[in-house]
Amino acid sequence: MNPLVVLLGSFFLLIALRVNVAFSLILSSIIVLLIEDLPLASVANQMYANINSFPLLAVPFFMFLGRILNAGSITQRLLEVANASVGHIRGGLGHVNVFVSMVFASLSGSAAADTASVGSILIPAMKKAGYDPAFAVALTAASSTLGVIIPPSIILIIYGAFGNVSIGALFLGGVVPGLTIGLFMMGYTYVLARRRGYPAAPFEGVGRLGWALFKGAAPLLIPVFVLGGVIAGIFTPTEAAISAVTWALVLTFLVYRDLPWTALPKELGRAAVDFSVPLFTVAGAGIFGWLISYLGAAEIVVDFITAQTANPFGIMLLLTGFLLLIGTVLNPISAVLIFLPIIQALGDQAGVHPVHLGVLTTIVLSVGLITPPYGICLLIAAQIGQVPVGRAMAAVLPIVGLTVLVAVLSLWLPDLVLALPKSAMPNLF
Amino acid sequence: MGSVLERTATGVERALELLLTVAFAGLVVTVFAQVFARNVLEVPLVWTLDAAQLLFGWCIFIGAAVAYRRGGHYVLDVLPAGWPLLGRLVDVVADVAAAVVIIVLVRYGTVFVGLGRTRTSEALGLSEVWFYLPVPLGAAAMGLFLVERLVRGRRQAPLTGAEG
Repeated sequence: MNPLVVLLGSFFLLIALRVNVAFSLILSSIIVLLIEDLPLASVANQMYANINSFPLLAVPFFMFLGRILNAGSITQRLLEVANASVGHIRGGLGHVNVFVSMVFASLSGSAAADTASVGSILIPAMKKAGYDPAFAVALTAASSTLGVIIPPSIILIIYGAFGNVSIGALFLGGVVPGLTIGLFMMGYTYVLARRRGYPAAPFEGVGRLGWALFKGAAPLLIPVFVLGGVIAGIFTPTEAAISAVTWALVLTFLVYRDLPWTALPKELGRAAVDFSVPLFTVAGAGIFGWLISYLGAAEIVVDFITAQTANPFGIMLLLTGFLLLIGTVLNPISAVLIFLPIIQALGDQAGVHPVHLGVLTTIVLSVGLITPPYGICLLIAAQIGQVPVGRAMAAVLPIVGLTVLVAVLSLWLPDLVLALPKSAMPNLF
Repeated sequence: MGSVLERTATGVERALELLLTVAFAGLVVTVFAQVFARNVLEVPLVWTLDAAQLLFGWCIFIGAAVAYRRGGHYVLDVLPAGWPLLGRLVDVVADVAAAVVIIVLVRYGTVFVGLGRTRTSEALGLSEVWFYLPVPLGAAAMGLFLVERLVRGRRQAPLTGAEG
């Protein structure tokens, strides 16, 4: 049998049998190494080689940042800003939900953390205010996926580190599509709220908004200096991440005094367990990815796809469909790690700019976070809202449509993604 | 009150968690020192890159072992819940798969550590053995946790740690 078929076939069989993704990557690689008579010693070697990367260090720091934001009062402060600015629009709590996810997304790089923290406050509040619980759950889950599109984003970091694309440019590329998807979600909420008569809170006045902004100003500086520092070339993303962590630590422990210093070791330990899971998967993908290249998977897929269509749009639509499908069973990090050579080969074939391709891939894969069976954000939100997953799924489908729409739109309007990186980093284009 | 094995596993988990906390704190301090020295003091430090890589490796492989005991790794749940016999069969397959991976990682991780003996990190003056050691060490801890779980019987994998 073709070793490539064995590699992919055994991998998908293993994850279907509930073997964890990292072990599945390693074991399917071991099988192919044995068949191909290659040395097993390369397993440990390639695993370590894959994590031997300075850009990857941004991942633990951004995940730690997310943890500090939630442990202290920063998330609460951001919620107050959201409430004072969009709470008075019809469907108010829905807008607050999307708005705060956009802000949270610009601070931290993860989605599930956002679902859990925003959801545990807003889902009960939305249910109490008379919103359909399934809609509350769906909107919370969907809006938190903005965390992987709006920078900083862990998936964009991994994509850039392994795909040799400027992480700064990818970050900038994610800004406009991320905000557009967020605005579309708010538009959808508004339409639904009109039709179903969801309430709006009264506008509490400019003074109230000013006070909320004042209280939230210090954490809101984080996205400014992360993005600003990276664009200006002062910081690498890793250095920006550690600066953001330092700032959040100073605010939480010194300025706001939300937590005593004695709580810090526990937060450090927990964050380290959190980030070791995706990064161990990165290590496991080291040997798997090496085999994918060794066996020439990218060429085979490109030949196959180009035999179907030579039209760049056709190629990209097929890629989008493929990523949507893959995203349903693999989380975005694993999907990027495994299929990056194939994604990039197809992007080259279609003549899509590498930055555009990276952002497009991330948007499409983010959908997998809210589709079954591995829609982790939807599962978390459904659990918080006590809603059957099936009902939450039905409610989330129109919102998924909006996300896919923006991804596909960017194929016709590349500047949706590229305008910002082009103007800030012209030397890359 | 658990068995000796369970208490040992719990003790190892606590020790690893402590090690992990120290390693991650060290990582934060190291990278902070690098940024501070370069941008504020304008004296680039030579040792920070190697030290960060050293600590990063420890965090990942030791953290992965702790996450393994807590059922925190990414698992896909597509099998129907209603068939207990199928479920048990699948669990056996998963455990055999885990055992093979762990054995390979311990065995060849040790070989990998051996390779490090001839190499030294110039900036730290440290043998590369220390860089590669967490690979077999983390795998060995996973092995202990796997044995503990097999002896104790079936676990229910909770939905945790998954992240996009």
